[in-house]
Amino acid sequence: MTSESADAEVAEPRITGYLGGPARISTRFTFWLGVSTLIGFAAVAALGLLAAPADDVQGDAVRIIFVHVPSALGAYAAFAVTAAGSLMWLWRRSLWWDTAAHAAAEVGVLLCGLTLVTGMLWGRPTWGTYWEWGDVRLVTTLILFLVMVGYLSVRALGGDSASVATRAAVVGLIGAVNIPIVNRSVTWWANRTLHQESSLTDGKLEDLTLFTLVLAFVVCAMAILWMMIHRFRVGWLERQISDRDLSEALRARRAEVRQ
Amino acid sequence: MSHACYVLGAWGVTLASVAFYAVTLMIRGRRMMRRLRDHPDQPGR
Amino acid sequence: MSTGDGVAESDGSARAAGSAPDDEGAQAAGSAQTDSGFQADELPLAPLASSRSERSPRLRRGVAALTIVAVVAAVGLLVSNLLGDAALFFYNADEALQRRDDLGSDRFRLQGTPSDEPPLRVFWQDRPALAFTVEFNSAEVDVIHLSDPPELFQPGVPVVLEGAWQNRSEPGVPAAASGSYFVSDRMLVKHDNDYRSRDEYDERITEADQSEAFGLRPSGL
Repeated sequence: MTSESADAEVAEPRITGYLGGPARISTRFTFWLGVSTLIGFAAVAALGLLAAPADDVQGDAVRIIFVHVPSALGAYAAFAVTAAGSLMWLWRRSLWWDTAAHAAAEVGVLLCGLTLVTGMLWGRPTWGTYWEWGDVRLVTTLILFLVMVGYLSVRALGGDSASVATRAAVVGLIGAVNIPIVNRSVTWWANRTLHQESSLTDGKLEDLTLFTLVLAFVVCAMAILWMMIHRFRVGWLERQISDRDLSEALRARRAEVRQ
Repeated sequence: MSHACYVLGAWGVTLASVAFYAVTLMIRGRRMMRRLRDHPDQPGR
Repeated sequence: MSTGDGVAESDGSARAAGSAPDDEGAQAAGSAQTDSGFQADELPLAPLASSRSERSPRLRRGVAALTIVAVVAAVGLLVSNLLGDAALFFYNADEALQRRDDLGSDRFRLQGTPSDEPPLRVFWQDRPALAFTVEFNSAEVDVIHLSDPPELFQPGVPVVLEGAWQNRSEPGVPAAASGSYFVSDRMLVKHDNDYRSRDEYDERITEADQSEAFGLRPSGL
């Protein structure tokens, strides 16, 4: 895209925004979104760590689900955005969606890593083990995590932005194939995992526990939105700077050539 | 039968890493904005 | 989290120092083709184009390439492990009973729910052990367990036991019926997805008058 503009008179580097607005890193919306997310975290912590009842069998370890389950669902959602963005890049060559896919992948890797860590910390007191290599749920989640780390690595490999986007989009779609496998693994291979099936869809949670978990979902969604918007802005600005640097270099080179 | 260390560990890891990531995002965004604004019209050579 | 940051975060602090020599190199190469006219595609712009990346693009790419190799290797290993026999995590107690002859003395994992009978402390081949029964689908398996159980081990909560079938000829095993028993040395608790609060559970316990169910009752041995 930039090579085409080289022969035309290179325009004055211009900072363009996204969604029609000017380029910036913070808006009133994200500021208040961030503030309400912080308040939400405090509320979930108060409910989850203090008010919600301990489980009959697990005891206090049940309180880990309030961070574990939202992290897991958030990771699924983020990787789904990556997949959608990858598709939109391959289909429409949309740089906006490519940037969104990258942003979502980074947030998703964070959440998927947290899912693994909090799951291990839940497994030790509950199952009696941090990790089991033969366990389908644990291992497929790890594979999903690794594939998306691979996605970020492919992006970090560098190259011209179109081929980076295409390579990354392929990896992003491979990663997305894993999402339903991870999610359904507890049902498909019930005797290959220690992991219980979803308590939520089975309606096996008590009122306050359920309320806290739902609140945790909402707060987690807000946090994800905040992080993805900010990461998107970083990616968008990076692209602006790189385009500007490139066109400036072209202008400078051209001035040199004409001398 | 207290599992407090596991519970607080899981919560602590989650909140700490989300907070850390959020701060890095703000720093990265600010740095990008600065580079956009402070960049001279001609690349310095 | 750290992985994502490490891979994708850019740090421009050392960029100026790193990119200055590259620019000169680009300049030199560019001036060599002055006569041939201006061709954007031939311009050595790569260092400028990637100048948004951190202090050392080459280092970053090296790390990324290594990470990709490691990821591909690890995913391959994990998938082949999952598809192999090792992936069969456990047999339920009824399946394990049906396959008793096939399994012989092989090690495998067995899942079942400990019955309401409190476990007995016994000695098995001069080693302290727990004797209890697990059931699944109304099939019952007698178990001798040789290590400390997880703290959540209790009647009604399913467990996965790692061990092998043994013929029932050892002394000191209570309730000798026909067939075999299962000797395990590793126990995982397979918690189901039914969450209940302690209070509610206590109520049920009181109703059922099973307040001793959690304790391990010493046997006469």
